[in-house]
Amino acid sequence: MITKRFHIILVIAVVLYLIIIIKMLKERVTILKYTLLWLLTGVVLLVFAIFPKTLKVLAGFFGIYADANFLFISLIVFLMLITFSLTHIVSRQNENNKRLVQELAIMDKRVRQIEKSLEEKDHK
Amino acid sequence: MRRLIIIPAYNEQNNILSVIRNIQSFCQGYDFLVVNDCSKDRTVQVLVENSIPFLDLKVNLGIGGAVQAGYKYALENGYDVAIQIDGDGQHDVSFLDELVAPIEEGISDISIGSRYINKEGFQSSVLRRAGITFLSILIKIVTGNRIYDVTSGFRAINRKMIECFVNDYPQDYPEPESLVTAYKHGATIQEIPVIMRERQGGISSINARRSAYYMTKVSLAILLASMRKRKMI
Repeated sequence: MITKRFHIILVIAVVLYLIIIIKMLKERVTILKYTLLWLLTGVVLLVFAIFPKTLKVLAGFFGIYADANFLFISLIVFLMLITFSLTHIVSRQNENNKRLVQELAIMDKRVRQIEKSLEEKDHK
Repeated sequence: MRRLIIIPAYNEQNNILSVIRNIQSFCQGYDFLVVNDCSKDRTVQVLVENSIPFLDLKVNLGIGGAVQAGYKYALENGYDVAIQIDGDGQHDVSFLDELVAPIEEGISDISIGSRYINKEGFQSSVLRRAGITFLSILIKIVTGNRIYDVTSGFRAINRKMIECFVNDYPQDYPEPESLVTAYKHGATIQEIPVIMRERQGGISSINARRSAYYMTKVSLAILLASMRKRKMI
């Protein structure tokens, strides 16, 4: 069972959480594309907070004795999703970064070559 | 045939010049290109002062990223053969012609300078040899082909493999894994006996602390590469 006290704390915490995330999105501190999972987590938590009954039903469905335990497990799952998506993003950024550095190096050599041949032309 | 020697260099201010001088005096008909992997020492200045052609990576990519940049350059500039030589003086350039011969004769796509065919010269420590044997057997299991010196960075590849490695080359510890990738693309690989020297300066990228990480990472990479779809070119 979720106590009255925890219910109130949960609602306040989730609302604060959502306000902070939306504020950061509004000010473009974070990009929506990479914040979607955080928003989804917030919305699900909000449903749990406002209607604790859903927690009870879902906990029962998954065969979990205590509502709070189901809340913990769902939070862990969301955190794992978010961290894994970060690994995915970092991997892609790494690939892009590598390609850029390599292309830049090849371009840089070409520029040096052109500058040198121009210099030689000037001397003639 | 146009041949390019690619020399990845990280903090090689003391060795790079002698490597280049060796190439210039012993190797006719080869172009060369140093790839400076964001060295923290005076490597770039040495290269500029001696007007040695080089690519300058502005961010450290690791040896695989550096060599791959060299392959990209080779592809864009129409080279037929790309040779990789370490920037630390371990590899004896007098073996270059022997290394490149099977490529130019069209016998193989990749030619590896191997310490373990005639077992001459610097053989590395017992522990390292054990690690290399393990990786060699692992590659034999997943590809059916036995290569003895799987970590050798002294190798030559043809145009077909340049195109392959431009698209798919591991960023760190690339040597063993890239062999599996090459086999997946239907490459023929041959080992040529060479004599290697002990590195003349600088520090190996693989120290004792990192060996466990190296073995785990490379073994997993080999298994993953063997699981990827076969792409024939």
